[in-house]
Amino acid sequence: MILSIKGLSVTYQSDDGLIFAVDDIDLSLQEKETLAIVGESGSGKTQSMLSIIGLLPENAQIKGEAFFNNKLLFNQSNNHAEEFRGNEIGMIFQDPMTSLNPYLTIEEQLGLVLKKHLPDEDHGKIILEALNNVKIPDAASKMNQYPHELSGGMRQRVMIASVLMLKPKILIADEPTTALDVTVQAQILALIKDLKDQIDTSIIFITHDLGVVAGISDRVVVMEKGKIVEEGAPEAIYHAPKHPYTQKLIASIPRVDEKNLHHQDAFPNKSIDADNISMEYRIKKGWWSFDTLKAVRNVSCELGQGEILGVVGESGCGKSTLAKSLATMIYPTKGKLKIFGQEANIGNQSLKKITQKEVQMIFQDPVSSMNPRMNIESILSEPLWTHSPNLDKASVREKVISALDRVGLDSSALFRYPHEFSGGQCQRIVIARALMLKPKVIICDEPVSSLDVSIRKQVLELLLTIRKEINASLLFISHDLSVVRQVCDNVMVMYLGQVVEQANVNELFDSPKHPYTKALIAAVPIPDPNIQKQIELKLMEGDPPSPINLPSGCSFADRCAFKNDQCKSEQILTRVDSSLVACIRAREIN
Amino acid sequence: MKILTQNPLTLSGIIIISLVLFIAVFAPWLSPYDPNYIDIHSILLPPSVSHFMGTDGLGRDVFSRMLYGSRISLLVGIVAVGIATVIGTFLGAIAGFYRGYIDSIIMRFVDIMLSIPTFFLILAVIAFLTPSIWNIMIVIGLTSWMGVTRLVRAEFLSLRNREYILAAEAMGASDYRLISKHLLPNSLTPIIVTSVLGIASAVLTESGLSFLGLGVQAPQSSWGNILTDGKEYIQFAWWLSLFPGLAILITVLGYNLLGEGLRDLLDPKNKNQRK
Repeated sequence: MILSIKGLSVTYQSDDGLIFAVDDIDLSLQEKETLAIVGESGSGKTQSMLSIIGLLPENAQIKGEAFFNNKLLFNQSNNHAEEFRGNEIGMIFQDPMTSLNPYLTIEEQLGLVLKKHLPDEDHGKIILEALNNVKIPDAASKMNQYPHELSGGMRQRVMIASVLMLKPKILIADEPTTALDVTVQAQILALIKDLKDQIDTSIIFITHDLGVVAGISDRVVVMEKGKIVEEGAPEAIYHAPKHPYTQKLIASIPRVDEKNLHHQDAFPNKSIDADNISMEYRIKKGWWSFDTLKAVRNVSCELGQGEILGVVGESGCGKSTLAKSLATMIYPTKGKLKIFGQEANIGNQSLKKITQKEVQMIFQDPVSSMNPRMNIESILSEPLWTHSPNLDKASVREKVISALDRVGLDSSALFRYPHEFSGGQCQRIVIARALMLKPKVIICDEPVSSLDVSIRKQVLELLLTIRKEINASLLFISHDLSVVRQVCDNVMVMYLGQVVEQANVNELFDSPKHPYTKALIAAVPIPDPNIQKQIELKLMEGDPPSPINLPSGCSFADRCAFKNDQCKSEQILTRVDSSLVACIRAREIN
Repeated sequence: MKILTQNPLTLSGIIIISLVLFIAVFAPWLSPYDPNYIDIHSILLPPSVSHFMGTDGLGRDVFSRMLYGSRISLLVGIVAVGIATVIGTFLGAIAGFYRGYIDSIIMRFVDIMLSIPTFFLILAVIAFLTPSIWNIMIVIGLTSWMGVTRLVRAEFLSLRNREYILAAEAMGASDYRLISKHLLPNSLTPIIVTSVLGIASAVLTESGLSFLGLGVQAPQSSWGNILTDGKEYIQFAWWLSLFPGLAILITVLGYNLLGEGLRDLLDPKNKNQRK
């Protein structure tokens, strides 16, 4: 046993009394074991691990004791955690950008660590070896680059390398893939899986996402409100959870490999019809010169009355720009966009008036979607006052209360402020606001990404019922493919501003046609250890090119496993079965 | 109110400012003598029981003059900062909201104003106008709005991309509504804090101007011109320079402490504790 924790509690003194961040947990870790700690925000998973490396804030009070290799880490009176930090126990965090100092090159950063722990050795050699171990291509030249020159995935690799080069006995990874795109996440998970077999390090993997750890963990610990509620082999936890909280957690995860049974195919009335629209921005290069950033390129799509259209893609693919144009907040620079039968352009201000009423938006972060200085009643009544200023106060309040009621909140919420509600409740209020004007189209930009797993399901179900009630169309933007699969009727996959594939939801997920869609769907972790452990990931290498000065032909060609010479110069939209695929070889490879 | 009184520094700021307010309002009742009464028989008397702060070169009671002087300091501070805040907030809001050319024009104007040494600009303007307390307040106000403009603009620029602003915009809120209901209330905290801190510097500027003889004119008293009178006698009548100097120092300190305290109080996250 390399680590044993007994009776650990972490408490904070607050005005309302003692807060238990961690409440009396026992935990042990074997040599070369990979332990997954799973829990939602506030479950104490990070706090318990921070205590081991002695990085808790000063006002935290620790009870209990912990031993590393039978040596005391800390107990009630002594805290030796700092002596083990780095050389014996290392930790990496969620956001690799903020974990790296932007002013130092990679070699200088990692050199600082070595200077403290291994002052007498050849630092260059150790660093190069560490970077090679985490499979950073062309490591020698990367050593002299700054963090902003590397992609998110590369930065996280550098972070892993910086911890592993000291050959610690324990690596603690706190949500190391949460800030990354799905395909990059898959690369990092594959790396951790490989590293597990090669090095003598035990890994503690902290996450809120049961899918992520299904394939790599030897043992899973589930935490809720500072307590460990269930512990066991992944097979037992995923297939036969005993504790009600674990059962709820497992049941609430949408699965990308399960059919969507309630989707609809045909929507005769079109709300929005985009024909070959592009959106270009000019980016200032020098005093007089510009670069052109093509955020959206030649997108054609239709949104039917009552349809839920999913838009899927990694960060920077143009999803949000497209959404803004559908709300007429910006206008396409090329192509024709028709909303409710009228053409959207800067001259058509009467359409803007209509869309302001009929097209509503729901954003990713519910808390920042509400003015912190307005109470819930003012927030919800604002759309009404804006569009019909002559309403009387009593009927406005009545409407506000009925909207709150519809999203499952009561009138006691009226005079409270946004920060007094939890994330899930805030998103309900935001949904209620979007419904105040009974819109025809609701644009949901990552509506559940910032919510905890168990709340996501409720919010999604709420969205679906409401859509049925008012027969609204939903544009559902998400990077989470499992959610999209369970929610949408039709899906379009975007890559660098282009739609690469468009089909109905089950067709797209069951038989993806475009190489990018294939890679994207394969990269989604499935919360089932039996499946996830067997999957040999066909990883997509590299990162997307910059949207400024795009290469000609297919922009995915550089990363594509099926490319040939023709791809570099040509790209056509082909129909394969019922899918539209932007790939010249679509028929050959399927 | 709990937050204000919990912090001993904020509390002392409140006490100082309330005291100055109290003195300014009740100066006629508090002062033992007429501040302008010249008594040739009691010239340059050191502090004693009958004259708490001694007398000046014309035999006037310094304590009474100090009490009346607080009115000037307070008035100048509040009115000058009021003018500066209104101008600064208005220009900053327009620059931050509309961006583009309007922003460039306003900010270049701010840069030009900032490149002129304010104190000498005030001196130049005062030299053309008759030095009176109203002119001073207006001139100080007209030359000290640039900081507020920059602040409000920066605040607006960062708030502009918040999701609740986008949401209100998508919903069709007018520019006026966006500014007055969403952007301004959320920029209020830094505006109020800088205004209170600005009062401190306005008080200092007024003292400086009066010290140079361009501020409040005799026989009206202000802390600045008491200090000026004192400089002639500084070698043998220390009380003439010490008390007005101390008063300015303590008042400026009081505004600064209060400003810091308001910063915490105005955070909406503290709204519940206040109830």
